[in-house]
Order: sequence, then C-alpha cells, then structure tokens
Amino acid sequence: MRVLVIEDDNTTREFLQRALQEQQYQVDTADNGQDGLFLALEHDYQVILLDRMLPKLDGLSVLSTLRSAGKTTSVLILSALDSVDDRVKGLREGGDDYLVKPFALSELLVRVQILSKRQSHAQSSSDTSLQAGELHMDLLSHQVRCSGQLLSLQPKEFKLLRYLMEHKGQVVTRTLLFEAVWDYDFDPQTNVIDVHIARLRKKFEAQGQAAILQTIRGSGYRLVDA
Amino acid sequence: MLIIVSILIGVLYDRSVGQMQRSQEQQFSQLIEQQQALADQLDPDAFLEQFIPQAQENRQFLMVARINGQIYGRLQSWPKGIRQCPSRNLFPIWSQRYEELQLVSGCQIGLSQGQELLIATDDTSLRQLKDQFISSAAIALLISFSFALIAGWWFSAQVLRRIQSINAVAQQVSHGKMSLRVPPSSNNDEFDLLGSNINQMLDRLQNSLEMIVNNSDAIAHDLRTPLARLRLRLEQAYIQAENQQLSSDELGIMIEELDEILSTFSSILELSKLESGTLGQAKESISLNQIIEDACDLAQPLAEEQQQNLHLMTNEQVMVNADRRLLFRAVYNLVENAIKYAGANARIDVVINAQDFRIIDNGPGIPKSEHNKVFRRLYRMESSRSSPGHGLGLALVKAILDNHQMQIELISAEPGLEVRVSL
Repeated sequence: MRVLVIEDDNTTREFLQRALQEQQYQVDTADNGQDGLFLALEHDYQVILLDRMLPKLDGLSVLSTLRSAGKTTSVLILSALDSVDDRVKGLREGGDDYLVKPFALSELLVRVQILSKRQSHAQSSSDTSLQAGELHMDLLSHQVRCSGQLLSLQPKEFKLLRYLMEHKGQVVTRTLLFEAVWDYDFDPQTNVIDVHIARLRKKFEAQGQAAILQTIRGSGYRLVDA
Repeated sequence: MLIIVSILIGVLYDRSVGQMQRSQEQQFSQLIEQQQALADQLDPDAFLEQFIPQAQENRQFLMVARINGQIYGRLQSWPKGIRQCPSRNLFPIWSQRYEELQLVSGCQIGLSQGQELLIATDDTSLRQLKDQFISSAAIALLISFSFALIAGWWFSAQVLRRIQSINAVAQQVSHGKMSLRVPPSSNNDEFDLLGSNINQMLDRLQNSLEMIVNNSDAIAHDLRTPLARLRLRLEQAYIQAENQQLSSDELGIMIEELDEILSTFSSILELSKLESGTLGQAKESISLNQIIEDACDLAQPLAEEQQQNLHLMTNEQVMVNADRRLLFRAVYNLVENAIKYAGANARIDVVINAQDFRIIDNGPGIPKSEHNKVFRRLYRMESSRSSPGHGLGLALVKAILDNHQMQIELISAEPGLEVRVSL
C-alpha cells in the first residue's frame, strides 16, 4: 500500500515515514504544497497525510485542487489549528479525517489504517464475528464469550471492546476510543476512559484473561491474541 | 467686560455730568432769549431799568451790558476775546465778593438796539465734576482692564494646568507607570469628567494587564512544575539508557507527563479562544438531555469507584442551541468535579428542568467565600491542591457557559453543593 506524506517539518516527516514504513506502507514524501500536489495528481495513493500549513501552496488549497481534479484519495489533515471551525473547514474542503498536532503516533497509524481500509474496501463488512485469543464476539447477537463463558457487557462496554477487537494488535489511544465509543471527537483530558477499561478488564480477569488487554503507558491500550 | 464697563461709565456720565451741563446750557439760552426779547420790546432806557436790578440780583449768572461804551452790571471793564453766543469760552474776571480772580465761562451777544450783552457763569464745580468723573472713569477702566487681564490669564493658566496634568499622566502612563491617575479636583467640571473617564479607562487597562501578567505567571508556574519533573525523568532515563536499563514503562510515564502539559496548554488556548470569541461559533440545535445523559454515562464508573450514587432525574426534554463538544465538556467537567470532591458514599443528583439543570451533591461543599473564586483561571482551593488537575476546569466551564449565554451559580445545599446552570 502506498501513502504520501506532505509535511514541511523535517523531523515530523521523517518520523512519519519511518513509522509508516514499519507498518509495511510504501511511503512518498514532499516538503511543500506544490511538490505534494504534483505527486498526489501523478500517482494513486491509498492515503495522503497532509499538513495544513505548507510553504508554496497551503494544505487546504492542495486539497481543493486535488478534489476538483477528481481525485478521491483519502486525506488525513494534520494541523496545529484546533477548533471546531478549523476542523469543519478542513473536512468541508474534502478532508476525510483531521488530526491535531501534537498527536500520538499510534493514533495516527490507526487513523491511516482506517482510511486505507475505507479506500480499498478490502475489509469485508460482512464479518459477523470478531476473534481475539480466547475472546469471541458475535456481532449479530451482541454476545461476547471469554474462554467459552458468556460475558455480561453494558452497551458502552460492548462498543469499547468491539473497537479494540477491530484494531487487534494496535495501540488505540484514549481519544480514538472516546471518539468511537462516545462519539465526541476531542481529547477528553480525563482519566475516565482508564476507569472504563479497568472495568472491562475486570470481566476478563474473572476468566483468567486479564493479560489480553494491555495498557501502553503514555499511549493507550492494545488488545492482543494471547 | 471692558466694553460693558465703558458703556456703564458712558451712561453714568450722560445721566450726571451731561445732565447738569444740559440744564446749565438751557438756563443760559433761556436767559439770552429773555434779554433779547426785552431789548426788542423796550427802548434802551427801559431795557436798562429792567436789566440793572436783574444783573445785581442774579447770583448764578454774571450779566453785563454795554451801551455806547458804558458798562452796566457787576463788571468794571469789558473783557476781551469773548466769543459770540451760543459758543462759549473761559475767561477770568475779578470777583469782588471773594476778592480774587475767578474763571467763568460765558459769551457775548449783540442785542437789537445796539446794546451788547455778556452772560457768564461760574461752572468750576461742573468742570471739576467732569474732570473727576473722567479721571475716576479712567481709573475704573484701568482697574477693570487689569482685573480682566489678570483673571483671563489666571483662568487660561488654570485650564492649561489641568490639561497639562492630564497630559503628564498620559505621558507617564505610556512610559509604563500604569498606576498613575489623573488627580481629581473639587470643581466637578468637564475636566474632572474627562479625568475620571481617563482614569476609568486606565483602571480597566491596568486590570486586564494585571490579569494577563498574573495569568502568564500562573501559566508559567503551572507548566514549569511538570516540565521540571519531566526533565528530571529524562535525565534519569538517559543514565538508565546508558546502562541498558531503560524500561518502556519509564518512557510511557514521560509521555503521560508530556501529554498532561500539552493538555494544560491546549486548555489555556481554548480558554483564550472562547474569551475572544473565535471558538464556539459552530452551534446547532441539540438535545441537552442527550448531552447530560452521555456525560453521566461516561462518569458513572468514576462514581462507582467511590461507592457514590450518581443519579439522573429528567423532568423535561430540553433542546438547546449549542456546540455539542463544548457543552458536553462543560457538563462532564461539572459532573466529574462533583464526583471528585463530594467524597466516598456521596449522593449526586443531576436534575434537568425546563429552565435549568442542576448538579447537587451532599458532600462537604465549598465555603461561600470561595464561590466566586473557583471560576478563576488556575485557582485551586487549598483543599484541592494535592489532587490532580490544572485549575482550568471551572474557568473553562464558565467560559463555555458564557459562550452559550448560560449562567452558572453555586448554592450551598447544607450539606453539600448545588451547581445550577440557568439556560
């Protein structure tokens, strides 16, 4: 899978490139809007990571030119501007997602993954169940079994677990969980998500499976197979 | 003023000296007409018969007649250089009564039968009066002129001094002496109004300046502490890395600390944006109940951890025009605060009414004296200093609610605290 990173800050660009390459993406980079736009028009990328403020041609102009040229490539906007209005503007111009600097690398990777799946339609949405280690989730009956035992989950706990299972093996940030489960897209600035996770983990603990849900200090959580 | 004084003096002159002069003139001409009539009607001898006793008796006027070189009346000789009536001139005569030279004013006129008549009067007092009047008028004018000059100078100096004092204050303030004010006077005039307006403006400026300075200080302090902590950890990690002992946990803790700093930072930014009105423009009609339910739902496990009873009471379905993210943030913050400070086993009721929503707990509450302070930026009560948080939460809540034209008030619930947000 091929992605394009348009970012003028050298350190950020190199870090992004390295992190994405580690995730088996093929990465092209540009350090200004003009070169970025040229590459984006020239090739078919899965996802474009687009900085909002760029030399020569700013991010939003790149985006609108791209869209008016008929390119439907998924675009993740990276920006230091964080207000509802900035976000709305970015998304209205045709951005598919919006990430505020500074961001957690793990969160960026998850968002890129979501966008690239959306683009390729590779993920069959017809899956009716999710599996992670001893954990089994039936998406039709909303039943979750751990080591064969039926778990009683509250609706929010179910959504939380589903998101973690869908991103099995990935570090999922609190912001991502907050957005996916509670549907509020901002940094909650509270440790309340941890408490929800702890409650969920307690239910696995009863089945001797507490280790399945890992806490990654400073980043978020990760659901693993073993 | 000088003009008024001059007019006054002029009128006064006309009424006094002028009047006297006119009446004397009239008497003069009457006398002349009378003698002319006599001379016309009588022959010279009969005229003399009439004339001599008159001339002897008249004390006010000197009457002399000359007929064929012969002089009749109270003069021995005919003075020279006397003007023809009606114009008059001054000439000296020898006064027999006072035995001295006397200046009189008079004229001569030829009568119908060759007689010459001389009439004069002593108008010394009138002339003296006139002189006195003129000199005193001149003095009065001079005095009032100098008075006007002095008063004018004094008044303009006064005005200039007031303007200069305001000017000086403005100059010094612009050079950084923010505490200076225009000194008030007891005059209560336009300058005082100007001064008090300038002072009010300076007060507001100084207040906001102090607020900025205080805020910057507090922010610097609040960021410095965790930054110092982070730096210590990094130094330690550096040594650990050298010894191949660096754990991912240690790095994770540092990321968490950094995130906390970033979150303080973005709260400060958000607060500024809310206060300057650049945030909170994207409002839509949404269900307040939904937002409050979401907030309670999110906070529920926090309450359970402390064996608290978080209870939502819905009396009304309320739609509000709001920014969903911001309003959720404010509501959640209030609920979380109640959970944080109400203590274990407390009961927390969240009530939705048509005109307001309330968060009522039966915890220790907040002393009344602190009610207003808790909304200040970076203000933290002594009792809460040890607990985590950056002291911006309630300031942010207040800013968000202000942005939504909602009022928040704290009410002591005896025991506990009621937070009431009026829509």
